[in-house]
Amino acid sequence: MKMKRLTLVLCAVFTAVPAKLCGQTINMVTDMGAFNNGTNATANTKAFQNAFFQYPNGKIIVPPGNYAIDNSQGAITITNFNGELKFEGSAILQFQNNIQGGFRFLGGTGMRIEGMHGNYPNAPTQRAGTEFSFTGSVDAFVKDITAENSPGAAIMFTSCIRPKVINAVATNSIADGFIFANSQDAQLVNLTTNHTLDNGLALYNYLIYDDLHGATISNVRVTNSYAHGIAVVGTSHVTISGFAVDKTRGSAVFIGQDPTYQTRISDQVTVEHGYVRGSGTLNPPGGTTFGLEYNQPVSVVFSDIQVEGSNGRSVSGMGPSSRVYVRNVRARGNLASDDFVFYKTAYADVMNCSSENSTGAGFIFNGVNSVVARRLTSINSSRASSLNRAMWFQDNGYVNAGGLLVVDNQAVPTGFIVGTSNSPGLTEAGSIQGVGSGIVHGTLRIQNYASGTHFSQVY
Amino acid sequence: MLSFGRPNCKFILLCCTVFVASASGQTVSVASYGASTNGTNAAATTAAFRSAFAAAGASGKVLVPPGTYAIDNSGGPLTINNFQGEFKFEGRAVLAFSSGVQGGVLFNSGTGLRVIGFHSTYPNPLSSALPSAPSLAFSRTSNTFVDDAMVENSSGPGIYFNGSQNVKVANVSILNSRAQGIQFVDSANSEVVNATIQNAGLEGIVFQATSGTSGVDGGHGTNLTVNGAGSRGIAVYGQSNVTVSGFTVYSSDSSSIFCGTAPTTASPANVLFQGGVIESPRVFGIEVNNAQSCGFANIQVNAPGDRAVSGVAPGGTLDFRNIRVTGGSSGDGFNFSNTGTVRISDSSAERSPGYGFVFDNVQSTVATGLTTYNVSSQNALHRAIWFQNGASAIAYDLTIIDDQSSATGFIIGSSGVTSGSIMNISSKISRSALSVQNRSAGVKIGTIN
Repeated sequence: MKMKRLTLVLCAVFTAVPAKLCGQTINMVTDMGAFNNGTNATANTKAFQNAFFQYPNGKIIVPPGNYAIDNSQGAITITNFNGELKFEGSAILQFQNNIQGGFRFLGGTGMRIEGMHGNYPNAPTQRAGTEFSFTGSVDAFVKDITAENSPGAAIMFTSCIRPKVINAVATNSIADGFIFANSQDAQLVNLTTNHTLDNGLALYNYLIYDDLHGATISNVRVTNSYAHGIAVVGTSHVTISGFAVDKTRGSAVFIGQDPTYQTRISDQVTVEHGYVRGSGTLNPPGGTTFGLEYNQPVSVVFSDIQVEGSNGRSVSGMGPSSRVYVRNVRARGNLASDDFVFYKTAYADVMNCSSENSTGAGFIFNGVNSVVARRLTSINSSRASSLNRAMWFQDNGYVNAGGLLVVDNQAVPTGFIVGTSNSPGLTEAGSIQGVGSGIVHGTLRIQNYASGTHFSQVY
Repeated sequence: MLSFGRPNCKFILLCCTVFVASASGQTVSVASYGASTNGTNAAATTAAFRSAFAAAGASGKVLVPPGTYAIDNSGGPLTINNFQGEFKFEGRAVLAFSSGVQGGVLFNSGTGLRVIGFHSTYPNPLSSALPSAPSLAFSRTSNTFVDDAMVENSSGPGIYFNGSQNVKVANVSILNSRAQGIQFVDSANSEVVNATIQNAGLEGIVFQATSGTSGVDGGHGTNLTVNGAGSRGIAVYGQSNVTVSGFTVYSSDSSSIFCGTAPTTASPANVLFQGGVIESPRVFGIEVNNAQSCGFANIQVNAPGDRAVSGVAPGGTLDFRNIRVTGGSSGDGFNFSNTGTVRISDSSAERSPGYGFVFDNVQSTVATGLTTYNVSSQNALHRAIWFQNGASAIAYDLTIIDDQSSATGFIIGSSGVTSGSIMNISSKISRSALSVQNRSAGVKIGTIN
């Protein structure tokens, strides 16, 4: 028998023993009246509340078993917990009411939570409370957290300072799988979400809360998200490195602003090293269905990302004040649309990117103040577009493009046109230098309709 | 034991003591050896920690129940030798080190030791840094794992490794350390994940290898936040094969990230920083000083106090890919000097007070895809991109944009470069014109659009 348990058992038996001497700040909820057999929701809820109330700096152990929790009066609120909460073995919270939230941590400094696992046995049918929420916590550390069947967001941090999360799983939530809202310097490693009716991973910065920002996130896997896979909306200074988003209803990765929810505008967001597949493929269709999308951010970087089978544009966005940097993004097998579309954007800087087998055009720059486009390759683009455009520049303020390679090896080539145009009253200025082509059964065609754009070195 | 049935705590503790002392490799609690949990009785509490480690044995587990523990470190840190078990803090358990001029806890040697939930503070820290007094130190340990640590008000470094190997630090916050936040010295294969360093007096995170020490390469950092360091934010001093991926460094007093040589250290090779945001350093955003090879990718630098990027590496090779710099109170956007090779691509300087890019005495420059936007705002020479005094400069795809009412950055050119070619220059200068100034006889400038 381990000493820890021994002390606990002895202390539990000899209730007259002073708690402090026996280290009774380490508590099993089952010693405080919780049942681990799925019954007695009311008693269990009291036991947890008592444990948190009596031992805000202690260690609370949840032994293996099922814990029915009566959350009919709202999420169980845990205020200013600074201690450690440890779930052991198969311990799981079963929230009985499928409208209200589950556990709601308010405040606290340095809390540590390990192995927390929750479920709603009666699957929710409407969007409501958050399963696990943390609000105003400082230096919270959460490890191995699993939230299933949440009526709202599965795991949510709001107005937290330096939250750290490692190994989080969210499945079947009606709102977001995992969200940092208005939090400062958040860190997250190893997130898995599956079947979320809102975003898989979200970082939001709402106008109504303090403008806290900053996050570094790595190793994110999102599948079957019915909104965005990863959404950074209003939060600035975010780096997401290493991710896979598979099947979404909306755009797989979305960076920007959401006026509907009154957010701030994201700035300096870097999304790198990732894989996106099947954006916009989940039903019912609705909203934008791009692989990578930006909407009004101040600056955003997409780097080293593969986009496959997008049921909408592979990479697209707009933002009259946005500066967008796209590097090493490879789009393949677009199902329904153009591949890369930059629309009404302040500055689009796109390099080393490729479009392969696109339904529509390979690359379109339309209404961009300044375009810098280098080393772009289109392969068999415009498969279902009679315009046959591989790359098209339209109504931009200034274009500096070079190293454009157009390849088509189909028996009947579809993507072999590079060109420009401008609407009446608009001037597109710039230079496009170095256009190479490999049209096996046809020839490259340049259509330069824009008044101020100069082509050179076309082969 | 339950059948004894005497409600006497001393008795229980005695039993526990005997029980755990009967064999090594046991789980023991410091509370069982007389540690006070209310921050008093430093001498007895410190002795209890020693006893607990002795009783647990080399491979045992030492528990620290919730509470505050006064640790008497006046004679030096609480030192544990050859421990390879687990040191586990439970609930909110905090060590308070009595002396501000000594280290806190030191592990000497030992393979596979794990420190979980460590939390410490100095009630009376020094007002200035004492680098010799780390809060949590490891010397010559291997396969060490520190998870979930909080180190506050340290006089010395928060967490310090020396001569160790295969060490991993995860999920730690170092707050208000007077010296470094996390420091790896002469340690091989060091790893740090999910670390926050707030208000360190010196560097936030350091990978350091002493000159002449062999086999101490390898380091990896992921998800690092350094806010308000009193020196550099993240520094690689001499250690080779270090990768830092995903970081934010705010408001460091010196350069935000540094790769190079410090006094007594080696010169680092194969160092890579990628995916990061740098904001408002007092000095440079990215600094290289005497490195063999170092690379940077996908980094944004905003509002530096001096150059956004500064590279000096005689005989060394520096790679920069997709580095974007904006603003600043003085200095060039990118400044490379006295360096063997600089390879830079797909990078931009925006609103830099000095030059956008300057390559000065770089023996081999390969630059592709550089963009400047409204640079040289404080520089009377109006240089956007400039190459001088190197052996060769090859540049391709350079874009100069200035749309200010009075253009400031519109000159591209070279002087004193032995050979090279500068090709495919594009410009959009709204209220002036691009000026090409080639003062190098051996350099060809071609294709201006």
